[in-house]
Amino acid sequence: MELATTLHEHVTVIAIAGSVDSLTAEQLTQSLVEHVGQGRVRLVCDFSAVDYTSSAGLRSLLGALKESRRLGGDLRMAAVQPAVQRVLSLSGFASIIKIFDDVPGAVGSYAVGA
Amino acid sequence: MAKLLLVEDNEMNREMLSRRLVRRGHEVVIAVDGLQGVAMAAPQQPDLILMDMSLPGIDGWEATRRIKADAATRHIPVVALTAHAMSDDRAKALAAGCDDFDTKPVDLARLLSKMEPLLAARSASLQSLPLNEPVMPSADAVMNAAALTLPAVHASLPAFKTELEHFCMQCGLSAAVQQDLQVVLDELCANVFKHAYPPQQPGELHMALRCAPGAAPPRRRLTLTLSDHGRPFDPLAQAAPDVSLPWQERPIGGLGIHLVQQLTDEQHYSHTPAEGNRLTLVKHLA
Repeated sequence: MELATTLHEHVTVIAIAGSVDSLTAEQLTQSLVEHVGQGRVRLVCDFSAVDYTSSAGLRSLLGALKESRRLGGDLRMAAVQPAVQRVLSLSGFASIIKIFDDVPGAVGSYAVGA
Repeated sequence: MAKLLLVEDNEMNREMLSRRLVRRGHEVVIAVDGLQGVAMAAPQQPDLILMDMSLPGIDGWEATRRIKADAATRHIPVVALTAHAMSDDRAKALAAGCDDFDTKPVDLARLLSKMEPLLAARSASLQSLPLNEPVMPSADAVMNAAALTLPAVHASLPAFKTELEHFCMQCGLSAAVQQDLQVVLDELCANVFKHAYPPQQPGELHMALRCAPGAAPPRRRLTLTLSDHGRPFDPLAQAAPDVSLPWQERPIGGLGIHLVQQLTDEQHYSHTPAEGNRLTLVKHLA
């Protein structure tokens, strides 16, 4: 799994590539914790290049989502692929996390206060 | 390889630090506030306590004072974790009875370097027995079967998945079914069953896959059997998380077995002294 961060004016986009599973989720958790810890609480996770996620990946996302919302921000997902969408739906995540078709949509959603 | 009691109220910090410590081979038990930390110290008898100082209820200073005042727990080293690097915090921690002090965010290498001498001293004082040699995974001669050692599962999991891919190709299973099975295996091997094996007591988990025509619909049944000879461990006994809860109330853990149950059509667990644990999952195929 590879992570690449892009800082927008008020939003941080984390592009994830590869599988988010028990082998790799800790790397994602660390990255998200660092961003939130540094006050970057308006997050977008770009899932366009994520082919697979397990509950380990969901734990990373939920932890960061809770912490960022607690601090007035949010964690939103963009470009989720069908295999990942299936896991999100089965886990009830689709109802608690905002998912957008693409990264510009997710980034723009913060501007309109969505 | 030590048993650690982590006293930390922040769910995210707790989750991340405990998993990093487990990955280093330690067993980690969790307390979410000071009172729980004090209550767990005597019965759990950890080799070391990692104590967050900013805790709800009684704080880490008071929890440490109580642990050090109890004859049953005063010998357990305590490392204080605090978000502040103030020199008076260090003095305060040592005055409360802490054996060492570290600051958050945790630098794992630095923290481990502080834990090591305390654990070594603790080990020497206990004259602990050498750890059992881990059981190495062995290739199973039966086709479509494999074995892997828990909890040191991560090194062997990729090979396990490769085996699964070959099996799916042989059986002509769709990519969607293969993805479901990948999630099931990942959850069972790297998450659910891992809890049955503390680092000091590794075990061997056997996997067998079978794809056979059904006598009645469904046309084909895919059967995945996981078995071991560890202590009785029924992963299906765990209550499924309520996935309809709002985000504030959603627990971070517990999703693994939930996904396994969602992605398979039948689940059976049995345990007998002769056969050990046996978890059988069936997926109906079109």
